[in-house]
Amino acid sequence: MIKNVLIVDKDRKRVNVLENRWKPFADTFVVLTAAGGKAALELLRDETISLVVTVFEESGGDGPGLLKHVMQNYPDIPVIVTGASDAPEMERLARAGGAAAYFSKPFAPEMLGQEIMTILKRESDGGTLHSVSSGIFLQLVEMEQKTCTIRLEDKHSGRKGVLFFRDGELLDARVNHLKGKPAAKRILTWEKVTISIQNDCPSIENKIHSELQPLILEAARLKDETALPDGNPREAEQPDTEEDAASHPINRIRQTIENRIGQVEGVEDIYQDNAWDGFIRRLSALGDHFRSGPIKLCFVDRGESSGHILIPGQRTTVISVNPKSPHDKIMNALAPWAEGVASRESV
Amino acid sequence: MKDVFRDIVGMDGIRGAVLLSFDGTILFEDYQESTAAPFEAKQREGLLAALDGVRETEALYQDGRIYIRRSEVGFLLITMSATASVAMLRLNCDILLPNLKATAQPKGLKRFFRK
Repeated sequence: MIKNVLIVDKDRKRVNVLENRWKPFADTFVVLTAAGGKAALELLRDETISLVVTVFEESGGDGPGLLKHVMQNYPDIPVIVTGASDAPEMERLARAGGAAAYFSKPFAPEMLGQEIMTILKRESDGGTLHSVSSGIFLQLVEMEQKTCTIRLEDKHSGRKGVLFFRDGELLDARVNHLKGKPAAKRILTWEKVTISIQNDCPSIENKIHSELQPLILEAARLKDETALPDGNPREAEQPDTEEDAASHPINRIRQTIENRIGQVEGVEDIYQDNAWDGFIRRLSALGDHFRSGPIKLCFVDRGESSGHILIPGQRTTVISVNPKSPHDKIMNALAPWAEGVASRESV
Repeated sequence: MKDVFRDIVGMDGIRGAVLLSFDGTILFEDYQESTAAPFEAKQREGLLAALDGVRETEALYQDGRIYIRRSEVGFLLITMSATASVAMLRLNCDILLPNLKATAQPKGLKRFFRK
């Protein structure tokens, strides 16, 4: 599970240096950036962030407010603060506010990268499991009366969520901006998930007030209600609103393929994965070099059983296709849509 | 080597071709249109690192396509218009690329001193 690290810093040059120097860590985390507090709050709401790096400026700025907001609303997300070296008051403020670490400027980007790696490793100090059923596993956690923070990634939609257990009791859950019971039910509709277990749980109040079994039954009911006649789920999850469902890139891709070329054979999976970002960047640079314009999408064959159609965006969308699939047709069908994504995100 | 690529570069919509060895050396290049800048060594190295393990890739851009195909001697990069036939290009590559190995053999006495 590749983690998202959010850097909140208005100095674009500094962010570029960090991004470049952290390339060796690309297998563990990717960087999302926000120039200020407002953009950071939006990313915290819409993305699954594993760690935040923010700046405490001597002249004020959003750093302290952001640290407070994360501690109150996302207590499982560690925050690293960077600030001036000759300002011990700043470090004291950061530590008192709950910062996981403080780096005085100037610092070596590699040192900060290593610290991020160390903190992120704690997210899975209790182990990682792939392709398991969320309901069955979470019932085991309840039975064993474990205290842990569990992060899950739905294999089907690529969405991520987090559950907090204290002595086997489910205290809270979060999927993007959804919290509490609705988030827990959402997570429990996910059939195949990757799970990372962290062997502790932040101090949070109980927002669920329910045992797991009724939530699992409720999630199963929701899933049944939206199942297609063949028994397959319509979607891996229930959108918050119709607008959410329509605008989710995975749903829009499915819809676009179906509308333009009908049912196609061989599409195995559609998900989002930032691990391809480096590859997309290289092809994008190649397009600039050959005066071909901005990249819309690409197909990659690595000699595996599946090929991949990649659609660039804030998160790269990956369509896994087997050799039976007409990938040329799919690419042509998605090209106008992919162009729209690129232009929207460049605004 | 130019003979090997004649059929490919002569296809409708093909703008040019570059053959990069696995160490980043340009073994062949032929363009109908000049590129924006020289293909810098650093840029070639970065591209080759990204292509590690890739057998074939096809990228669609706003103003054209780029098709990249792994061969026994390196990666062949072909730039073309958006309307060029990739299926036909793929077929041509299937036929022509096996000839590359023979073409890339060193000339002169070197060929007798194989390791």
